[in-house]
Amino acid sequence: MNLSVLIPLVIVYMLIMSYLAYYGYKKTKTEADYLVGGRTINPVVMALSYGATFISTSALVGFGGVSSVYGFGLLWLAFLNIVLGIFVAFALFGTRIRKLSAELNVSTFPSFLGERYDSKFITVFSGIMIFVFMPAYTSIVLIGGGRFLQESLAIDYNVSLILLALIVSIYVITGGLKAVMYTDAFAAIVMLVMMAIFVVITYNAVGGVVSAHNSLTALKGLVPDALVEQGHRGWTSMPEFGSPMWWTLVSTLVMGVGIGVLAQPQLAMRCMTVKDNRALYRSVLVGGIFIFFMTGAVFMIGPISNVYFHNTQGEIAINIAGGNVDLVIPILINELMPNWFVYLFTLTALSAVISTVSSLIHVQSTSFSEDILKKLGVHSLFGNKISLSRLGVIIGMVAAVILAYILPGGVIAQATSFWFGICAAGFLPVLIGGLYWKKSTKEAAVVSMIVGFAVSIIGFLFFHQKEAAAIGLSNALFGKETLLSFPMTHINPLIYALPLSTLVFIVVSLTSKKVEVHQEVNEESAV
Amino acid sequence: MVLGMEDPIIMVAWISTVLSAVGCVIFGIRYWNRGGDDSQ
Repeated sequence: MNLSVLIPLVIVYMLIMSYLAYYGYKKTKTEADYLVGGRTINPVVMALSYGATFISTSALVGFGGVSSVYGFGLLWLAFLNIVLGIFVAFALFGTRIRKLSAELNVSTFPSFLGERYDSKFITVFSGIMIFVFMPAYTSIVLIGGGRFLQESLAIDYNVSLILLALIVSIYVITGGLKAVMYTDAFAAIVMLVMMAIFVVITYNAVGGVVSAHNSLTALKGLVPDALVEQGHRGWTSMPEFGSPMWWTLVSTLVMGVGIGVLAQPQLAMRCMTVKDNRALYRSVLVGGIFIFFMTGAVFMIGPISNVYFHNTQGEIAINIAGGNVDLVIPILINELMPNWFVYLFTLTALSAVISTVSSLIHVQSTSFSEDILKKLGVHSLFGNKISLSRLGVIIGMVAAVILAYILPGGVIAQATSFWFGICAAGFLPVLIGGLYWKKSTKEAAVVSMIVGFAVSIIGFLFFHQKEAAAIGLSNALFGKETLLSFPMTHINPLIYALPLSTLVFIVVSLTSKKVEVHQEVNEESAV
Repeated sequence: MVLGMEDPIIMVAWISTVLSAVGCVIFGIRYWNRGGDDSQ
């Protein structure tokens, strides 16, 4: 790659991003502007920001590489991303979250749940869960960005990491959510254009849609023996039912991430930033197109990269990448796409990192300041010389950078699965109950959240092989990588933690006394 | 084999992904002017 072309391109890109962050800063006058964009964000900007926050470099490069191994089965995740992550999140949940959050006058996801159930504990507990566990997710997004910059711009990894952390911190500290969302939207446009071109050129290079699929089906005999033993039955078939590969695909990759998206605080709070339901309905259109060209496109490109590499080099993708799935998409781009695309895709990856990290850091900082400290009666630190939100940005970013050095390599998928899993088990029943069920009670919400978080965290630490092995706590305490045997080693904890927290929520709601809290809440709840 | 996919479940996944995006576009157009200023 010619750095004399790429570096000026990156500088121009960063100048545009910096201008947008400055614009966000100038438009940020009140606390509501900083926290929820003044509740007047344009629907196109909201949808693009949501999408760019949702899709990180790991989702494009990492999960794209994974799909080159697993095949088209990952398209079920793209389907859930569009149906649940966009349509349900905006048109169903979003409309209620927006209206209730305005009526309850709340600006963060934890305070939304806390006020809905009239519980300070729920706000503080949710804030702590976010502030403690989100940095692990933030750090792996940072790691992905740092590694990408290292490879594409030949910048030292440590410098890349610090540079990214500094840029994002400045955006968030100065401009709050408006800066985050404006820069996100620009990043999303770059991502959308590049991925749309990428999927069209890739299909075209292997003879079109049906021809590509036929060729891929014919490659079935080239699936490595190790994968066949795990249940692989070809790239255009689902893995064998009940096999380790089937459990990983269905429970972790498809269900874990697909359902988990509904309870992501940094995504759910985006619905609080628009002024009416019309904006959310319009966002469905933009968001649907965006996610289709992100996860939909990359989960098509990944499998058919096998056809391209087989046609050109006589090998399947994973062999070309030397066994490292993270290299499949970068190698495909370098070999298939024109030079200008390679340069612009570098910006796409950079966009995906900055947009995701900035939103995560913003949510971490507001959890720290609004949901934990202020709820506990702390309204200023260091004699008011630094705002609590901005202090939260600094602490959250420092924690993410430190974790980026502590976490073992190659844990991007595990850390994503962990964060999405615990959020779904801990937040989803309480969120849905709060939005739709009049009989839901504070006691039920408290118990359900504790059960959901506890069971899923225990599952990831001691039962689910990939996370338990990566974290190593089970081995340190019990001398065993996992405490249970197959299939529990391959079943994502979300699969049992979410039904359990839902059951607890329903049973406790029906058996505990309902206390009237907010009239508007009962008017909004449908059942 | 429809669409070149060996497994019908995968064929359904591919078509569903495309149709869900199309569905979002149709929904967005149909509801473009509904729900303005808290009317809903």
